Amino acid sequence: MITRPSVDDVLEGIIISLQKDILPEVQSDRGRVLVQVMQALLQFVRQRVPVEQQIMAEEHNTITALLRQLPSIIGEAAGPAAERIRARAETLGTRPDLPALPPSDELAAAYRQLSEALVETIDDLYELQAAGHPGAGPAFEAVRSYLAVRAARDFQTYIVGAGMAGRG
Amino acid sequence: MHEALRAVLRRRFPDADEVEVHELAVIAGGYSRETFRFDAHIVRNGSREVLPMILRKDPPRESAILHSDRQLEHDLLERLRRHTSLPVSESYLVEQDPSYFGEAAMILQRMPGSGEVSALFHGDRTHEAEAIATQLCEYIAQLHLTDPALLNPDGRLDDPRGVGIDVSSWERYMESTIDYYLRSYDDFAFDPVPVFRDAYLYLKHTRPRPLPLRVVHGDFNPANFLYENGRVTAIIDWENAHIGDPREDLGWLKLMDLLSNTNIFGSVRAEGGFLGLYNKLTGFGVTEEEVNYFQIFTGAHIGVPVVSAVKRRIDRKHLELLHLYLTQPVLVSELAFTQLLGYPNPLAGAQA
Repeated sequence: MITRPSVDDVLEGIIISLQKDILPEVQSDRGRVLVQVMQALLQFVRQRVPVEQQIMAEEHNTITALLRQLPSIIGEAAGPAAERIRARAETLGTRPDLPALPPSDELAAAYRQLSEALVETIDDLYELQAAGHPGAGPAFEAVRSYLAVRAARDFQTYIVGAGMAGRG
Repeated sequence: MHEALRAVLRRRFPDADEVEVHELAVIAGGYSRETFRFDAHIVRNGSREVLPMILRKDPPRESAILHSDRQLEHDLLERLRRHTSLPVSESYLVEQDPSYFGEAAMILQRMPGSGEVSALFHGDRTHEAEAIATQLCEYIAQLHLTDPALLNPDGRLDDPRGVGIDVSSWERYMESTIDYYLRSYDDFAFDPVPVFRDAYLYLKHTRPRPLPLRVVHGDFNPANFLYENGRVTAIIDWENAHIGDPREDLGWLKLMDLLSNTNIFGSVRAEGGFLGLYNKLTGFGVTEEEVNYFQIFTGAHIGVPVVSAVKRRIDRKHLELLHLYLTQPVLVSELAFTQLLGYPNPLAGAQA
């Protein structure tokens, strides 16, 4: 994975470019309004992405606790509605809590630090190899095995279409 | 823009009674320069000559993908026209004074032909693709056979970026160039890229056999030529030309074939393919393994300045959108490098 440019960097870049590069080229009023709508929707995504999963996980646990709490609040109420509330407490309310997700910038910083450590490790392995250390070869193999998977996954995750836009 | 063009063209054509600029339009797609097309009408003694032209203008320094010298490009084009039969534009003038176009600029002959290269390789145009790929091979071989003293008499192509490249021998050239790549890692690593670090150290610790240093195009890729009726009509964008190893152009073409979704390298049929024909013409005996090495080497040569510009964008030194898009070829190159370096195939288990 890459940590920079972040999703937010890309979305902000598009918003800026819509304003700076596209809006001056748009002739019709309708087109100009649609550009503004696009900017607003991109801003909407920018605001959602960094917090949405963390909030969902947190609220998942809050909702299950709430469902478990409701039977004691309604007390001895009778009837189908009350039974359904008690049933939800027994089923959905007993779901295990989801783990708390770290904030996305914290996760990216931790991942980035480890990736930097891999860069430094590669430097060190070349030194070991140059010194003739027999462990250098297998260590390279281990690091490269991981990096091969990572590069293939990055390609699948990030690459959009074939070729390069505007290049013939 | 019209007035600035007229002013500089009047200096270039002092015998003209009038110079007019028509059909001025921006050309989309160029990544490194801002490019415009126009027709210059040169009026002399009541007769009118129409010259198709291109204005190539430097972008602001912070967002520049490649820092290069318009005067050097101008001089090289004129030498190529004089000493080779390569189809290159006439360069009419260089304007270094930024008061005209905002940055340094040059005006070139606009060559005929299309740059829509991917169309050649994704349809029923096999014979045309073969003819064009064959001709490109012949042209690049011709460039590499040209005495560098003719194209570089003043030595300005020895180290055009001014980064300490030493061309006193092939060994010194390789060593000083790879040191430049490694030195530049922190300037371009917008995010940690362990595969690139491994690739550059691999270049340092592994060397192919030497070849004579020659003038290389430096960005010989599928977007940098024009064609028409089965013929190459122009080889363009010489701004990254330098004294280097001839295999750099072959490696970059092969890597860019992958990144551009084209197949120039695989479209030559004569003499056993692109490499066979090239070797027959040059006698250099280049192997596939050497081309693979120079895919990484030239990937770094172009990659260092380009990816440095991406990093400056992410660091908010400028706000151009294109640079964010350029993370795409970086990631494709990363995967290509894992294959070129012989990393274990992550799908090997799945295929067994």
